[in-house]
Amino acid sequence: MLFNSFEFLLFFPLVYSLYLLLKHQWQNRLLIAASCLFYAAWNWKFLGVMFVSITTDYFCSRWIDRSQDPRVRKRFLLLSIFVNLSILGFFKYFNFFAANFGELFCALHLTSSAAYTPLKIILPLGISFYTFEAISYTVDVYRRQTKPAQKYSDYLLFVIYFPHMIAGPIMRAKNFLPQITSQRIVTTELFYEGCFLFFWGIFEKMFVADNLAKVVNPVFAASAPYEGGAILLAIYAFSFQIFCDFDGYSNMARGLGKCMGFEITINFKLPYFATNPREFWQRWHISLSTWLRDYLYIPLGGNRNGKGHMYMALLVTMLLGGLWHGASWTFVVWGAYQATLLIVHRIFTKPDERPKGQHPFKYFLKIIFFFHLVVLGWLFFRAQSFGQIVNMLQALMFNFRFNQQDLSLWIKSAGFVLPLLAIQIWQFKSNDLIILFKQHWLLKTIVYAFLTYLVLGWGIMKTEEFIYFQF
Amino acid sequence: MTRRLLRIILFLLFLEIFLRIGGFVSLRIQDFQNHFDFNAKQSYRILCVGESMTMVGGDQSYPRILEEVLNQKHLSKKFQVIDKGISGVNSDVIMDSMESFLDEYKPDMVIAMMGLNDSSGDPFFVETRKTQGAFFKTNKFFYNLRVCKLFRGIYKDFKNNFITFFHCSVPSSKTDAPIKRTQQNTIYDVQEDYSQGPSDENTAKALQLGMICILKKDYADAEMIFRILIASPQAKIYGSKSTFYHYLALILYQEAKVKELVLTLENIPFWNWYDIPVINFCDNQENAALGIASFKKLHDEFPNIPFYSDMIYQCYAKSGNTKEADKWKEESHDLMKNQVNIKTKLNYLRLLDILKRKNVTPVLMQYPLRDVESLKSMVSTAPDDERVIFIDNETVFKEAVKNEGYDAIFSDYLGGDFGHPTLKGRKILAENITKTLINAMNWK
Repeated sequence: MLFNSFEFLLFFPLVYSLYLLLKHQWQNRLLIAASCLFYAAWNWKFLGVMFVSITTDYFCSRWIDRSQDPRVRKRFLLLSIFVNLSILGFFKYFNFFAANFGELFCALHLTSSAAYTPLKIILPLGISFYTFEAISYTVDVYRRQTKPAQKYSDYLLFVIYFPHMIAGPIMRAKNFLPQITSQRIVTTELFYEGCFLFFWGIFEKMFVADNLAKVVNPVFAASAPYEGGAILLAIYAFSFQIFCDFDGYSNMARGLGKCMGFEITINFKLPYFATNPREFWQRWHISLSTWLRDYLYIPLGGNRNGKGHMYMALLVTMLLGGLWHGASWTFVVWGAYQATLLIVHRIFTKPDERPKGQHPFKYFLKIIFFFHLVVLGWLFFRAQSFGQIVNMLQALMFNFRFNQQDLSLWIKSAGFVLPLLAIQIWQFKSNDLIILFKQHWLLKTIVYAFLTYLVLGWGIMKTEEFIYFQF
Repeated sequence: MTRRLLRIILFLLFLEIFLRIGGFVSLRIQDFQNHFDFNAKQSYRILCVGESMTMVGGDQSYPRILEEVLNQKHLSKKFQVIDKGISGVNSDVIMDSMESFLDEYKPDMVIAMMGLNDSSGDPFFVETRKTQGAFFKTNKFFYNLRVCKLFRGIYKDFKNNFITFFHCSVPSSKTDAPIKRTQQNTIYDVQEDYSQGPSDENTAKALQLGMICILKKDYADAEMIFRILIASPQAKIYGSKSTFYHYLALILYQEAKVKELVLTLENIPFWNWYDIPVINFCDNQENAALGIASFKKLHDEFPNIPFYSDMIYQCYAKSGNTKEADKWKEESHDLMKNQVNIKTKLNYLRLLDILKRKNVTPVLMQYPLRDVESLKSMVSTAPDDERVIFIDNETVFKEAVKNEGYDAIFSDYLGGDFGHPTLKGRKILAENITKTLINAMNWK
């Protein structure tokens, strides 16, 4: 069930009306039932997989908390991580590693054939997100940074709460569990803000992302030879498509949460306004980048053991971060590319250097320059194979042509992006993501009417799946 | 409260303004594209007029595709197709601009498909529900507001989604029947595959197995497979549920399960009934009563569609109830007659007159899925003109809907029984026009 689907249009008002009528404990029970239904609408059988993970983590975390023996505590932590990573590894990476090891063994003459028939494994929706949430929970309990959930139902709701279950943001228990255990207050202001966020998410998804998908998909679905003009447009368009798709989902999730009195973490803070890779990762998929920092980069030594070690930790973190997005070498390449950008940036800047006042034009040029580095990265991310990456790069450099059809596609794509950019510049200038919501009611009414026109008049009504569902 | 009401009114007002500005800008872009290369070459000019059915798609509207398709045929002529579809207008507006279009573009041929928006109280465009639009029909001002049109469209889409959701999403108890292992490679495979969750791949496989069962006349197994397909969420993505229901109806017909057949028919648009000989069943009182009850229900829901009245008439006639049969025959006949909208009729006649005077070839095109005969009868009183070409979009679109599913061909239910064509629908339209014109004009 997608947030922008007809089914959700029936589902949410019903759940929300009941939610407002119930008392706190019953609200939680309702949300658990609704979340199970939400997930079961895709495939109820995979609820079982989720319950295995949830039950393991719940009991492991309680035993970790109770025990004073460091060895026992570590054992339960490892058990929890092992179970979670095994489930994720099997469903997401089994075929990938089996095929690659097959090829490796063949290359080493250990086997006669590299042919591997992949198993028919369906990737459970949201598994990457809830696995990371689960790991962060048990590690936090182990580090005594958070208290374990007292009730199974509380932990259950933390993981399966439907607005963030499928595609994040990856919530932390220390932020979210207290919201589950304590009484939530839904004010009119919060409700309106939630509606605004949901609407803004719908605009990003239905008007920008889904329309740009029509420009992007045919280019990446085609086979070589490519034309540079079309490739350039496709990767520009994909940059905005993936941002609006994911930011749109996150905003919808936050909006739904706000309507119910939950505060869901911000996942994107205008990432294309970043001037360097470090800033980019502070703005892009924040819940994932902070997770990678806290549970991978820092445990790997972070910047505590000298520069060489730090660069290695960065590289490993970003490679695994890339692989988290999907079981494909193109994601690993993308991770390596991002790691390279981060390492080069670290080499040329001092660790404690803070940005100083800059001339606006210089600042603007820096944004544009770094945006293009990010755009290049999206080519690695979106490509279907290595061969496609090479062919497309070749086309960009040696076969750069425009034709009349391209021109009309450029104009059309710009039409989908410009309204978003205009509002993002406003958000960036005011350093406030909900600046529009805080405007005078007349201005808000005009802008809402305009955005509604764009969504209803030009948006894609046929529900397209969110890109991040596959991760 | 007053302030909130004021905000809502202002919101609607601004939305109306944006819709109109958007329409204006789209027309300017259309004009720009029409004049692009206008004087560059001597070509055979075709002017396409109509409303949103013509305009929809922007630079991929059916006239633009038509130009591409015609020029790809390597005929002795070079074609230029001018798109003058204007969203939301009725045939009066189109005809008022006709002379100026002809002067401006000097076309050799005009293709007209109009009348969809002439419905204000008139039933050329069949309003699908009795209660719908009662207020708006009596109030032209509100009826013609862009906001009202937009919300009418949303309402229709919502209604159709609602019907599909509640009719199709409840799995039949048959799905839960124990696995039948008599055909190891069919039923068992489908159930096993679907236990992993449906996908494009296993849905295609299940569909193929279902068809094999039909061909082998293993109707019980075929029925079970199609019930699984209908109950699967994939059915919505893979083709259309109504297609699966269509196969199920054919199977139930063969199994002589009248009661279930009649219930299944309610999930199939009537234009897909043509190869299900439903009426054959109604030769005994019991089956006829079942059919009549079901068709009356559909008739109540869609009171202006003559098809259902005709079915009721045939059921009564088969069961020997001549009195009721005559009554329903008359109703069906009246509805057929009323489908001709007088405004549309006059404007088509006016168009033929103008084109004759200007020596331009007239091409009258019927909407997809509709009978071209009603269009022909509409202009039957016009002076004889051998050059008039009619384009029939009934058969090709029925075939396309049957093969691809409604959602692949139309993006909504604007016309009640059809909607705005998708890119695929527009390509079918352009191909069909090309084929008809090449035959009629003897282009080589």
